[in-house]
Amino acid sequence: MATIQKIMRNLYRDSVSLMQLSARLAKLPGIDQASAVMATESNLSLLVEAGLLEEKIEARPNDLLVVIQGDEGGLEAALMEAEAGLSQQPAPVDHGAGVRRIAPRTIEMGLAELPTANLALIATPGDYAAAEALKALRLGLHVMLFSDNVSPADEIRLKQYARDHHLLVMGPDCGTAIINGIPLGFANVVRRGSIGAVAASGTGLQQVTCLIDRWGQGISQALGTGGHDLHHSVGGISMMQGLAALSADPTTEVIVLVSKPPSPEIAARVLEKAGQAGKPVVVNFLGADLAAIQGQNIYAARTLEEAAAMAVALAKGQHPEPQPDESNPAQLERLLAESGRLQPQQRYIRGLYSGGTFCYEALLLLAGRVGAVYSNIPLEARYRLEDVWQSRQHTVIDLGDDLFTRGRPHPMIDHRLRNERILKEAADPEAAVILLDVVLGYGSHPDPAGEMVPAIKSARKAAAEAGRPLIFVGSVCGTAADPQGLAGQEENLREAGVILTESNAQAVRLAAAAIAGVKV
Amino acid sequence: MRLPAISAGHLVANRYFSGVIHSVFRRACNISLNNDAFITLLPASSANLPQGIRLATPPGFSFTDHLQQDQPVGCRAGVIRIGGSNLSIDLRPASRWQADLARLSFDLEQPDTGRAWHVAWQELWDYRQPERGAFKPERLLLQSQAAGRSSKLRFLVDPLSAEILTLLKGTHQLQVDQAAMVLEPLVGLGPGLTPAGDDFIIGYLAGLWSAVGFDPARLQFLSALGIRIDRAAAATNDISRAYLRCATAGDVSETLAALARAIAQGQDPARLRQVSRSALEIGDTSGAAAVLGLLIGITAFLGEDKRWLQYKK
Repeated sequence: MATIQKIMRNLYRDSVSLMQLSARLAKLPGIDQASAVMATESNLSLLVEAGLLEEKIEARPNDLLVVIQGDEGGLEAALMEAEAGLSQQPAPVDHGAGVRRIAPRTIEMGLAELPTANLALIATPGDYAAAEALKALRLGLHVMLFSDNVSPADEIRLKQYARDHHLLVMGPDCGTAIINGIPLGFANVVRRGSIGAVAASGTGLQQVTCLIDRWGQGISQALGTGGHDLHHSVGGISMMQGLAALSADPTTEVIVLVSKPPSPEIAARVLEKAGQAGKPVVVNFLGADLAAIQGQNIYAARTLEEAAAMAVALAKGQHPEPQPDESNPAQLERLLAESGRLQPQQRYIRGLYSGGTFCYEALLLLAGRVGAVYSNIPLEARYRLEDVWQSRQHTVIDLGDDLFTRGRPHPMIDHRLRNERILKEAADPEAAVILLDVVLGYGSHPDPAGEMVPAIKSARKAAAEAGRPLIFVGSVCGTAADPQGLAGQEENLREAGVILTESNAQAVRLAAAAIAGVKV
Repeated sequence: MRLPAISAGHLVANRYFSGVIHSVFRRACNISLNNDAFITLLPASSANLPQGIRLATPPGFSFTDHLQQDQPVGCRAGVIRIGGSNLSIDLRPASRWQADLARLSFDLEQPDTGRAWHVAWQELWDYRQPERGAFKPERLLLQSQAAGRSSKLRFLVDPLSAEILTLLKGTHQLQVDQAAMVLEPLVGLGPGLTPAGDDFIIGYLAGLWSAVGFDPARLQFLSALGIRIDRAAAATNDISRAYLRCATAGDVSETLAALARAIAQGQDPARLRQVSRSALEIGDTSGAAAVLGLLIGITAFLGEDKRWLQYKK
């Protein structure tokens, strides 16, 4: 195994495009791993940890670093492919008379080019993101801060400045938003409508907006806050601002709030604000005590699916009822038929998630149905996996966690890690059900089903050869208008033997039913 | 080139707005905003407008050298940027300007004020003389009639026409329908960017706001009349509609407000003539039509007062 690396001085590309390039390079013949990153201190450290660099190299944060590992014969071709990909950039605009305008290199230049813009999406390495966000705020722009690794102190400073200047900061680590119908970051193409959402969770927001779309309603605005917003120190500044904005927005008739449970003090503040919204507010604080979420216009939802269902009912002018915990009869029948063939030692669920909130929701739902579930993000510390690369009993893992993404792209973009893990679980005689999420939309892989189906088929074949069936249950988070196409993706996965449900919550309930062998 | 703003009318949002360039002239640029309002960019030498921004322009500056129709305009954090132009404007140093006519509380019974009104009235009629000024109401009336429009602009020739007397009576008696019946048909009448009919209404409303004082009944009348004019304003062009709508709230140009203030304060005749002339010389007919409206409007709440009968001669 050989490694090749190239430093491209003073070249910048955003993290999403670099992840996509890395995934493309890693699929080239003879290539084992590839990583294209901005050469920040933290990125260099991650590459060393991942074994792609032996030691830190002389590169600056303004430089772009490409590292490729694989068979010696394929490295040069892969590097050329990388250079070709990185050299592509928008052609300068010809303004006639030989005047050509270069692409904007700063936020100020961008604003001069597009003076009516009112939002800056920032996706620089985390070390520099706060400074860029502050520049954007000072220019009077709302900010979507896609970057992570922004310090809590900087987050508070940015959000307080924004609030004082009637601006909104979505993030840091805000992966999803839909503004005026435009998907930003990892987001789906949903129809426009009367339901607005504010979420401290990217995939949570994707699940809710996609289900609303699937069930015939639409989204007015979907705002992300970043995962730390409801932390005590930040105080839910962005969620409160988002809630206020949607309350004042005449096109929004129903509001959905999604988050992990905030501290009691922050939750009380958010619920007080929600109570003053003047319109129905569906609250999904995942795992929270529903009795604590009360108010005349407030509706507490247990799952992302239930939040979407309640919002849809309210948008139709109906009273929202709690979702029954029943599974689709046809799916349940098929599942029970398959589970009836499980070998005695096949007793466990293995959840392999690309979406962190889907993983968390699965942990919550399974805990009440199958008992202890091990994870890299467990509900209780005693169920933390000592070795995240090795499942134990019921295991549900978030493959988007930093532990798995060092030196490689996020699993929504690069499916190799999950595919490897699927094959590994198939070899485990105790594994009975593989639980999956598939996330479509902008930012995600252009053909996730196409990436996963060969691994699923290989896993089922390997298990069958060992005399064991292997049940695949999952859900596709996407819409018909997404670039990948929901119907085609679902069809490919079904053909590969995956039992697909409309939502993650339904998939988790089915997986639990397979283990219990009874309807739950 | 970034130009600092010297002053901005109080109707201009000071940090955030979006729009597109509607029209560009050498000494003015109109920006149509997304909320249907207008902003007018003006050179340093111009007077303030309620929705205007005066810029510290260098000598010889012309907006037509820098701006074009349909260019996008955005103001973010107090800086106005124009897509496709090298010109940007820093709104942050601008002082705020407001006509504030309602504070004038006219009292034509005061000798100085009455005398000042008379000087301004005389200046208007002198300005009509062919050898003195550009205001040719007879020509305007003929143009209007030739264009197939009604002769409703005849009050520009004869300010004591039956329509004006009806208007004054309706105003004195606080009869909104009667006053509106005269004013509404004038909307959009006359040629140009700001038709003379609109200019007269703007002046008339300025006069009413100058004389309204703190009388609740008069304020209620003005409010109701403003709603009628606001609705009728749909009949005129975009720019003039914006000016009309401003005037319904007492927001008019600095030139017209200065004349109202000079009369209210009973300033000396020389100063009054100077201020009157500045107001009269706006545009081809705009200034004179507005001044006519102002001077009539100032007296309107008084009814058929003997002073008015004296001045009509």
